[in-house]
Amino acid sequence: MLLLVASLIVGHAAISDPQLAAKATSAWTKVQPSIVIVSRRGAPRGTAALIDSQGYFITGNSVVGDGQGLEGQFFDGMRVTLFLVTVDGPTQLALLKTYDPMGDRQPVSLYAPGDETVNADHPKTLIAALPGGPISAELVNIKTLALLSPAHSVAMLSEIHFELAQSKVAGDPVFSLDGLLVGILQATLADKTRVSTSTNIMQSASGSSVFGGGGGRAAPMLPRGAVARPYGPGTMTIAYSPGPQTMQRVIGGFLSPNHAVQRPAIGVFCRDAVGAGALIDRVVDNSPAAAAGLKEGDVIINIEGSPIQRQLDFAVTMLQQTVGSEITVTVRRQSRLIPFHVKVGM
Amino acid sequence: MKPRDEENLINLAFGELSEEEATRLEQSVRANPKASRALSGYERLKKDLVLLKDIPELQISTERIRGAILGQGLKQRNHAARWGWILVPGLAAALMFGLMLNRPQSEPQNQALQVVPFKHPVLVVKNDPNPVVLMNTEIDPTNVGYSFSPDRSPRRALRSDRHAHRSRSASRRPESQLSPLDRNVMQHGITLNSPLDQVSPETSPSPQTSPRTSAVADSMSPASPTNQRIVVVNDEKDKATGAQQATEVNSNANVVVGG
Repeated sequence: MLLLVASLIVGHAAISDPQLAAKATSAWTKVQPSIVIVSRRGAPRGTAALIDSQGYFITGNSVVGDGQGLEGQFFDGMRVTLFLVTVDGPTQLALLKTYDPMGDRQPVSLYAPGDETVNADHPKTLIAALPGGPISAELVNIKTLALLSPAHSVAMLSEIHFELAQSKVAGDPVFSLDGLLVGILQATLADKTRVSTSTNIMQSASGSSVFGGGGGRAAPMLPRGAVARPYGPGTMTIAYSPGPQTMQRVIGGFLSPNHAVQRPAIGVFCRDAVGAGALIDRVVDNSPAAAAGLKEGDVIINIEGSPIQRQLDFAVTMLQQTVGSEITVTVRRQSRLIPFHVKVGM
Repeated sequence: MKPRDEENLINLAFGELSEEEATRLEQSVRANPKASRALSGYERLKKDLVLLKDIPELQISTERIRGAILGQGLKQRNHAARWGWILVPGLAAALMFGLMLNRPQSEPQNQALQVVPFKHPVLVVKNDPNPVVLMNTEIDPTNVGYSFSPDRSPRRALRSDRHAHRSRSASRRPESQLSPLDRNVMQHGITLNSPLDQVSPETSPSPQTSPRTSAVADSMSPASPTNQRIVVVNDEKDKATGAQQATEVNSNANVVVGG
């Protein structure tokens, strides 16, 4: 099976650099045993990646739906029954578990960019694990600021480009060429002008996979019958995944004893203040902010020495705090500046 | 909206209120959609000021110049207008001389602007230390909104520039000589119905970018985090991808975030 997949990848390789193509093949060979195709009531919905040797998988909530009738099938054909453990509300990432034997399978490791530069000028080639097999993608940004609705929370997302037209990608994991888990595809950019296509060019009827080129340097070889389209916004899917830090936080929470994701918060909702600062729109009852004495109408101007120019600064600064620590929040109330000591909750 | 309220909003937008006043006004603005919109407009104006750059000479269209030359060239010359340049100042001087003779001696010497109702249009004396504006009585003199006072505040200077120079300077001077404010007004099509636009075509001093404008320009940077592009991820699913829909937005001022 591995040889078959590798031959499919090489056969469809549109990555002009042979070394890159070889790396992609190697990466897929490495991660493929840890990926299951998730079916719900018999219909494939997406894929999930094994993140723990105890049988925990991570995927998107759109893949699991109501969590009933879930089954996983590895690419080598082994089948396991999956159960929904929990869903992280803001990121819509889902934790699945199987109690069935899986053989000697290793969980995937998480991508941690460190000081590595990732941007549109220096994209990082990825592979996305779709139910039909791997496709190539590019990581162009790991610090896209996002507002997650309706949770009203802020997160850093990774922006990932596919050289192919849109397909069912939600909830599928993406990997670096080192075989590290970069993220789970969560959202796609809504583009009303994008050319729609009735042909799913990423998954052919024969189930073969497609490997697009990196950075638009070469056109992808398409499955037989697929419609070739030029590279560009008309055929490119722009997707978003939780960024590396968010992935780390979510997976860490998922694998904790209570499977809860810790997200630092003090319990206020803010909007942009006129001038500078974050205007407190609402204080959650019984929250750390309420306990500390923060009130609606206060304008947060500083947290732990970091100036707060707008409400997004507040949200981003809060993401950097640690649950359980005590922070100093300086607010402007009437004409006074008042520091409050608030214990960070979750 | 009352002029006083508008002035307060401008002060707020340009950060010239005390914190107490600002807080109080912010709360009242939040409850008033009209005031909120007006405030947003002023803030946008403040923000846009920094985006203005000098227009290269090449963008002063040669076609426009040619059109202007041809337009003038094709017109029949009015020989009487040849002496207009001397007649108009002469008449103005004569009229002003007459007015000055009838001027009450008890008038305060430091009065910045004297508005005299007058049934006929409009004449202004240039470089007079105590200028007198003859206004058409149909114009409400309380709505003039311009001061010749040399010690006007930066904010007032900005507003005055905006009111007084819009039509004159923007329409009569080459774009390369326009102040950033004028270009901004032209670009955004802001209509400011200042009576002085109708009554004092040549009197006001040459428009300058106000100190406030420069200060604003210096304080704002395109790299400001406010300009950062962000993505809003909605709960709605994209039919094609099955993923949540993401939308790029440039403004997040009204977004409520939790933390």
